[in-house]
Amino acid sequence: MYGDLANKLVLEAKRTKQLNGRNNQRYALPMYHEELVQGILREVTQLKRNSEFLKDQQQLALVDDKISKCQYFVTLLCMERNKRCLLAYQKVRSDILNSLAWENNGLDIMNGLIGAEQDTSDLSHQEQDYLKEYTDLLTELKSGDLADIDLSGSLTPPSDVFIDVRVLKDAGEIQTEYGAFNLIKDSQFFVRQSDVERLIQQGYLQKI
Amino acid sequence: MDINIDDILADLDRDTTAVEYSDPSQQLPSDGTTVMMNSSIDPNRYKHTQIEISPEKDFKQLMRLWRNERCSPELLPYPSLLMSRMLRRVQEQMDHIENVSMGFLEEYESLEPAPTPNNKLQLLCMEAELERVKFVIRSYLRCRLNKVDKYMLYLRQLNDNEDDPGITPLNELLSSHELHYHEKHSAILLKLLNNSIVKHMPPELQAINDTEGSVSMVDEPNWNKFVFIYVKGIPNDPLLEEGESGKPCYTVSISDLNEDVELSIGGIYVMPYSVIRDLLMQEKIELI
Amino acid sequence: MSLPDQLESTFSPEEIQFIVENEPIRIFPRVTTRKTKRPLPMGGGSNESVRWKLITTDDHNVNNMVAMQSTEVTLWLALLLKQQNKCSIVAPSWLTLKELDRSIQYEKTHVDRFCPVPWNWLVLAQVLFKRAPEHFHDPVHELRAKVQDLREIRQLKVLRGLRHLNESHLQLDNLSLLEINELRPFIVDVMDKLRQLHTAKGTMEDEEEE
Repeated sequence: MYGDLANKLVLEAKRTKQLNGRNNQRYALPMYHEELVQGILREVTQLKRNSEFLKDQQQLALVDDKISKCQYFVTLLCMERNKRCLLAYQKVRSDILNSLAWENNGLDIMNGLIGAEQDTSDLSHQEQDYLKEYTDLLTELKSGDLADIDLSGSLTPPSDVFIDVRVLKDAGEIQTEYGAFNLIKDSQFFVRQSDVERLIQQGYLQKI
Repeated sequence: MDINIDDILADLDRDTTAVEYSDPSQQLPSDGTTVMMNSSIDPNRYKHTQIEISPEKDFKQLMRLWRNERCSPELLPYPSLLMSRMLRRVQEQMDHIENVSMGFLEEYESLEPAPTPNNKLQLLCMEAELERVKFVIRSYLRCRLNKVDKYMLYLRQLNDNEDDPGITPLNELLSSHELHYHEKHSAILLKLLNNSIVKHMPPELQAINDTEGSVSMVDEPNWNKFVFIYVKGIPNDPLLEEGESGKPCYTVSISDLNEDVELSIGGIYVMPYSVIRDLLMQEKIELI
Repeated sequence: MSLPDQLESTFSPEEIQFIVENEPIRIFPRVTTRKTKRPLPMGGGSNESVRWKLITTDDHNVNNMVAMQSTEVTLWLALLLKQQNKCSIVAPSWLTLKELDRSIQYEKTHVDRFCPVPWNWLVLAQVLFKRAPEHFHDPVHELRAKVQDLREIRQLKVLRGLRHLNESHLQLDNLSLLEINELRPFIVDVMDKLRQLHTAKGTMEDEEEE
């Protein structure tokens, strides 16, 4: 039936949203439903043809006016609904891409670095382009006047300036204002929180 | 000391609340504060007002704006001058900390007088404070960007209604960064939607800002959302009346329910946003 | 999005604490930062330190600390000094067994209003119990229990009041910041829904009249 495919897509969008709605969970997108999207787009083309046919018939007054008007109207509604479902699906996904870009400081996913849990092959080509452009936009926004603020930094209020951390994964040497630290698994350090924020986000370090 | 032209220009900012009624008994504020007698702005309203800007007041104001922004359904106007002062202070403080810590390192290396414990403590405190300021600014700006995204199409329409005097023009509502972000993000999002969906649609179905039909495609702030408010009041406000309880209050009306509500100074209420919006803009209440 | 969903509708408990940490509190410093009027000729250098420069709060008090003379600083600064063993924090006057008992009595006798405790009472009590437990005159475990009692009485009052939620407005004087933050999602949701129902009802009546 018309609209069934779109319904599937919306359910998929809802699932994606629920998966990402939980607290403290990393954002991730499931595979882009290319086939489903193409199917719905074909359905719209089909509906469009139907609507033109119905319109022609009305003009020729070949069938009962009321019935064909109603058919015509329902066809338009189906197209409209398909369109809205497609847009909703894409919007849910692009919102998560935004969150990913903020959370990972943008660059990681594109560079395929460790710590980036999003598989780029799950994104459509257009989405990959979008993510790249959005990431560039954030990089641009973060430099200049706002560079001091570190816009993509932590949104949890600072509790202590200096903290004890434990190293969970080897991360090599880092340079800070207070000297160099060699981050070897299971070692502990007393460091300035803002220096290691990123490493904590990426799961290399744990606050004790 | 801290006095420079920015602060003086900032005094003229209509969005600072640093306007105070002059009080001759008030002693001069400590360092880092600019004081300026000003009777040139709107002399009818504020005769001999003393305008005073201090880091402390600015930070308090920033905290208020941050909380208001987080609680309000709509995007509130951007406080350009306050923000430029805050950003400048952050920058200066970073330099200052570096200087102090470098000085302290030099002393240490040359084995001259040992680093004083007070200096260490002082650095620790200044760093802690700096992180706090950065956090509030960051959280505030991120909250605003979130709304810029959420109301992307709605904000674009605001721009189209420039002639309507009741509407704040976009370039007053947003900072220049935010304007740029809004414009660019709209462009890339529309490109995504266009390439993956819209361009495959029949021409009559290509609109993405349709407000007709069943559900509007343009998300607008929920003007009737309930918000928690604290009634602060401003001294000698002619709009204050004596309420039933004898306390001074503002009276607001919830028009669609035909109800008048008295908001007493010091009280906490839960009200529909649209009803208290004017009081919020006049800084007579705070969102909490 | 640029702000996580869970921060969109309310503040996190950490943010509430952050807000409270900007309030002043009384301390007894264990260090002196006030400069002597005449610097000692030589050797005074060891006590010489650069002026404290703060950008969010008046730095007069921290620059004029004298050991064991009480002064007032913002809470975050007090906590930091305390952590470094450089001050003791003076517990606020309402945070004693006697005063808490008085507040509990008030809550019991006034069923329709909240006792005017400070807007940050709960957070401040929690923070001080955790970070400066040795600075109380009364035993901390007893204070903790009393604070919990007071909190529960107030919660009960709120719950009983919920039946009066309506589509118009609500007055909640003397409710503290943390209490508001905890109630916010529920109250706002319910009142938003009630309002929707009210509007829908209005529209239906209008249609019936037509």
